[in-house]
Amino acid sequence: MLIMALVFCIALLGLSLTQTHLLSVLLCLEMMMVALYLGLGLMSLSGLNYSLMVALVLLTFSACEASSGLALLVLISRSHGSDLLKSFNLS
Amino acid sequence: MSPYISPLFGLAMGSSVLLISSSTHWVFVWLGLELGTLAFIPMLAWWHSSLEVEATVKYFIIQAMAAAVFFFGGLVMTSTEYISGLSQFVGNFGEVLIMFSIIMKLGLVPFHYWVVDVVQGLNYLPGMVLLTWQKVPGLMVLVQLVSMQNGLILLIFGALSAFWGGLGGLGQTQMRKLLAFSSIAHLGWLVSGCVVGTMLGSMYFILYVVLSIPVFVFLYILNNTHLNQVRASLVSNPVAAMVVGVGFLSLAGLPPFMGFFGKWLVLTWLLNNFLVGGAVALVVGALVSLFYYLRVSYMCMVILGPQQIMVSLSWRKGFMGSLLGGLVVLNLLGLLLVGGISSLSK
Repeated sequence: MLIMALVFCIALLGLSLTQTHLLSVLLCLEMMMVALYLGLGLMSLSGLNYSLMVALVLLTFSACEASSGLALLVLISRSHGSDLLKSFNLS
Repeated sequence: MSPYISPLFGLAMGSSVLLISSSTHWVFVWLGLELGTLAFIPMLAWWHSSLEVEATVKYFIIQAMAAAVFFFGGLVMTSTEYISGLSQFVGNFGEVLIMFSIIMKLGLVPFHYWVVDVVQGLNYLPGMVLLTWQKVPGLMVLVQLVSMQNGLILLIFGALSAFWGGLGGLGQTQMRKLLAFSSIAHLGWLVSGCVVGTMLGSMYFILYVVLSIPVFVFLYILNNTHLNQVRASLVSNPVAAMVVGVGFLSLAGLPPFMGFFGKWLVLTWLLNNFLVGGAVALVVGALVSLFYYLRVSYMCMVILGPQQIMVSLSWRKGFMGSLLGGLVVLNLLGLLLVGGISSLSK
């Protein structure tokens, strides 16, 4: 569980501090989701009997999230020319 | 995007609220939050303009991150029940994480920066949905999280939010940014209301929705994005300008209007619960934000512009004019409500 929390926190930090590509932001999001999946798997070992079903739900929704994130990546590279976060209006 | 698919997304947004309100476990709450966010994403990027796409990406990243933190908090909360000895290290850290993720989703003060950027990029109508309907799921979770020690944190954040919503809008000349700051300030009042009473919070939310929808719709009709364009609107479409002006006065919470009713109710309840500090902070925040509300409504209703009116005005005839007049009168009903409620409470 400690490793899972560590991975999650590293991914959260990476998501907040990434300043180059949108793709790496999306990768950090996926890393957070995988850390949560790992946590649910470990929870099933320690006696939480419904956690594997929840893991399926989590996988489904993280796949949905990843696909809409990639769709937004395509949209932003069509309208801005690249997926660099520098081209955003971060006022 | 094909318009035929949009009822599906609307259905998903509606069912997310139903899912959250009927769920007994945090996994389903997370599911509802995700469903609402994912169904709203295609509506944000409807017209595919570059500003809209950018705002959508910002919204997506913030909401996905907040949802992941929510799930992590729920996992921590559950694991303290199942793993013995963990709770003395962790405490109620899971609940705190959940609360912070909901605050991030709503855009309350420590995590409010995304609201202004996102609303500035959007058109008025998706912005209206973002600031009204998309707050319902988060608020429903927040209401259930209010306990005594969470309540104090929420009250502090609410007061800061009301203050910052006023402070941030002082130098703004973009109408959509003004509306975003106004929404942050109203969210502060709303959360403070939720702390002292769930019914009070939902009533304030309904009032905010009723007041802000005409403002958004008529700014969309006027097609104004900048304060300078608002100045010319009294000549081009006077009734719409009047509705926007009165709506801004009402959002400011001046006494004859409906917005005053909500603010008065929240203040009364806070003072009844001896939360004087929170009430004072909220009133100071409302006073600061009064500056920009008054500036917009002055532009809308008082300044006539340099040119003479040479044509016969189109709003004088037709059904729409009377309908819009009715909306102004609806705002004035707040006075009656205040009188009625205060006479009932004696």
